[in-house]
Order: sequence, then C-alpha cells, then structure tokens
Amino acid sequence: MWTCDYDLTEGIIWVTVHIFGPRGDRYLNCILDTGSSQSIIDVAILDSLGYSAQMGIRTVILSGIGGRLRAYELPIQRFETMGLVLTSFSVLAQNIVPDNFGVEGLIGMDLIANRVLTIDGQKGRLTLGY
Amino acid sequence: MEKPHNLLTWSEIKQQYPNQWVVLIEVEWPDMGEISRGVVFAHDTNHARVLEKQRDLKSAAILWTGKKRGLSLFTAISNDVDL
Repeated sequence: MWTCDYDLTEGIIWVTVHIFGPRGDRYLNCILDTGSSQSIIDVAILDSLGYSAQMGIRTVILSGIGGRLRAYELPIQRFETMGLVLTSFSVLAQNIVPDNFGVEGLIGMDLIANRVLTIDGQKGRLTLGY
Repeated sequence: MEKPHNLLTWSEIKQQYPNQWVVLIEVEWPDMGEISRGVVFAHDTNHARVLEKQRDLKSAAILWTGKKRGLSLFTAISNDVDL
C-alpha cells in the first residue's frame, strides 16, 4: 500500500510521476484527475524523452470544456507513480501545458482501474492499495 | 553533512527562482511526498524554452516553482482511427 499527504488548501491533488523513454527519464508534476478516463502527458515532454507520433498505437479524440482535441496513445517504457512501477502503461500525448499552470500531465482513471484509491479529504491523505 | 556545490533544497529553489520552470538534476525525491533537493540546471518562465534547454539531459526533473493550478480537464471519449 502506498500513502502520501497532499495539500488540502490547493483544492487539487498533485502526484509525482517518474517517466522513462528511449532517451532518458523525467520527474514531472501531474494532477490526479478522476474526471479523465485516460492519463495524459504533455507531448513536448514525451518528445524530449525520445518518443514520437510514429510510435503511437492509435489516435483518440479528447473532449473537454475547451473543445475537442486529437491525441495519440503511446506505450510508455516505464511509468512510476504512487508506488507503482508500470511497464505496460499507455498515455495520451497532447499539448496540455499553459505556461504558468505548473502541470505537465493528468493521471486518469486508467491508472486507478482495479486498484483501491482512497482520498481522505479531512486529513489530506491519499492512499493507493494494490 | 555538507551539501554538494549548488545542491539546493526545494524551498531554496522556489525562493531563488520564483514563478518559473526549473530543470533539476541530481534530484532527491522520496517515493512519498515532495522533492527534497536538486541542482538547478536551467530555468525559464516559458515552458517551451525550458524544454529546449533540457533536451540533451539523460535524467532530470521539470518543475514549476509558483502556485500550481488545475486545468479544464479532458476526457477521452472515442477512438478515432488506428495508426
């Protein structure tokens, strides 16, 4: 079981992601987003790690408040977050980073599937059971 | 124990490089919680520029030192075509 405290005053939950690609690895700040069915990582980060659109396995239409966008789904070599080490995890690649928001990805429900996520909104504590 | 040259705590990094993106190397980041320390390799207020600066690094962390905000979020609703 993995557990971590988060800042209740921020109103959103930030998690650390360690993502690996053909050219290296990066630590990123991502939002835990239960409103997103799939995890999304900024395409420029993925590019700098050596991934490309040619490595995508399909395209997906993203629908949100800002309209619709096309993204491609990319298998990630190694994806670590919330105590998990995943070697068969895919993310969607899309430009999601406004300059001053500080977010480089969204962790969606695909990561939570078949796991037990507990959000304690009184203590500000996140727990993932697996 | 004395800190290696230029190794800063996350609090020191936020203080010295406020409201911008920083690229950190030699990162110390516990499995649970916030980054603890790192060496600032590059910094910029513009995300695209900071990505350009870190392109050749093997390992790094890319972080925003200001207040983080949420997004208008997206949901994947349909498959389009196979690539």
